Amino acid sequence: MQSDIQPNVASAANAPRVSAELQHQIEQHYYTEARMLQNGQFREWLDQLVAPDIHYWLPVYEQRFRRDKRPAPTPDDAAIYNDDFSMLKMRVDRLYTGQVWMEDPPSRIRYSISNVEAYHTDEPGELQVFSNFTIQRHRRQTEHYTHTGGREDLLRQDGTTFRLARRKIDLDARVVQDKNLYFFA
Amino acid sequence: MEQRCHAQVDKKECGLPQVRVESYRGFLYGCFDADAPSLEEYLGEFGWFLDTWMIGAGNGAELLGPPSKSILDCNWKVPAENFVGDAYHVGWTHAAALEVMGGELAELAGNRADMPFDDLGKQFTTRHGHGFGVIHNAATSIHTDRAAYDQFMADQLPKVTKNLGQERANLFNGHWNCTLFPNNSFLYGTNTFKVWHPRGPHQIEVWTWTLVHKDMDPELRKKIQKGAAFSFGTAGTLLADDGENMMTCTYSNRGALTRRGTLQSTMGMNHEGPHPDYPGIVGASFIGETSYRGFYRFYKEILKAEKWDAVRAKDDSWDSTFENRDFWVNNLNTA
Ligand SMILES: [Fe+2]
Repeated sequence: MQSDIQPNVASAANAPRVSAELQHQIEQHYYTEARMLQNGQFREWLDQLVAPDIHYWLPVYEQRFRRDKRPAPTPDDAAIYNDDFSMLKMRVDRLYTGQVWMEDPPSRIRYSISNVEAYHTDEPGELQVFSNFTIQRHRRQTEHYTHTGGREDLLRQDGTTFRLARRKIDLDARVVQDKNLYFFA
Repeated sequence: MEQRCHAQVDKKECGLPQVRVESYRGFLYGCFDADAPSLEEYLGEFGWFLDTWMIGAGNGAELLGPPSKSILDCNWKVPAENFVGDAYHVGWTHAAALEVMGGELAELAGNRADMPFDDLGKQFTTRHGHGFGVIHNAATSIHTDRAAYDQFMADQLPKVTKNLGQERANLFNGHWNCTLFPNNSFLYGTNTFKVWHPRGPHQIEVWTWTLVHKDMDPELRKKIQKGAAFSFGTAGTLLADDGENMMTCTYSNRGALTRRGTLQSTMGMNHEGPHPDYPGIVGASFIGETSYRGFYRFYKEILKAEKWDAVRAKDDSWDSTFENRDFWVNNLNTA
């Protein structure tokens, strides 16, 4: 498991797990987030669930031999997403121009989020959360793509809800099995 | 072990095929054909253009990896053609991204602006199907965070002019969409560098690197790498539009009726010819199909040629299909 996401985040090994109630809130939060993204409510997602200091990151992982001890990618290395809020906002705004031809007719996307594991960090109100995803994308008549992977998030408690401050995505496919990854995992 | 298997294989006869690996300005290319020309001869006059940034201010360029890889269900020629010359898809295909990115390119969005294309750029094609289009003074224009990049380019320019002359200094400041025949494409300025590996006639594996000048400092490299991924990476705001076109073109052309058609590639025909200042054939505008015609002309030539000798025999006459030999003489005289 690569858990080199942020120096700020406590290591999962010795950090305390969240309570059952908080665990429930986080899971429900992820389902709401998934439903927003499924519904194409990208602006609501950005405005309501994403923190202004977001680092949204999908590094390029190489298929490597076990004996290959080169370090895991850092945010200074090649990435597919390496976005701050302004970049995410441009990606979202693009989807509202009415000129994204590949989304007309719209594709159908379905998220299944599982294996949610949440820990307190040294920073009060900031939680380190691991989860798995399966994303199914259907387009046109017969196009169908499946993406699986893991996420390592830093969620910040914001009243009764949460905001996403860091997301590191580990896509299982080392050769992406889709024409693009223009969706939010 | 081998004894017990009754192995009767002569291992000397079973080696791997040899690949020739040659370098041009530090860029390595492989070839399995022992009879093919050397890399330098194969690039030929196109090397004059590549030197614009492969030498540039002196230290040239390199790739940042590791490459991101993705599968695209299209024929390899579709992206190769797109990069070699397709500037006229930009305004429509990428309307959404251009509008959001703003800057001077926003004018292109949706092809709403009436632009004097002949003044804004050119197209080039040389022997062996290589070609590119250039938009003048637009090298950095796809980047949204580009002040440091603009400054870098301005600092490099006097040295480029001194090393290579005014024509290539102008090209250094331009944005290029380019394909080295057959399947290596790049956008100079936007810093994306791609190889389209064919996986049969209907699928490719795309490998994407970031192309940077070696003189760029670590901070600028990071910024450029981010920007290039944002525009033309696997989740790029512009790449997402192109992949759809490439796949759909391939899909549509598999139909029984569409296969009876022929490729229409006549835009700007005769608005092109030999030019006093540049090698190869030069098209009047970056919006045109001069470099398509160069690409497909050579594709046809090598499909028909039995051996490389047949190709070599046309080294001095390959461009005779570009018939308007006096286009630039006449055009430059009136201008
Ligand atoms: Fe494009």
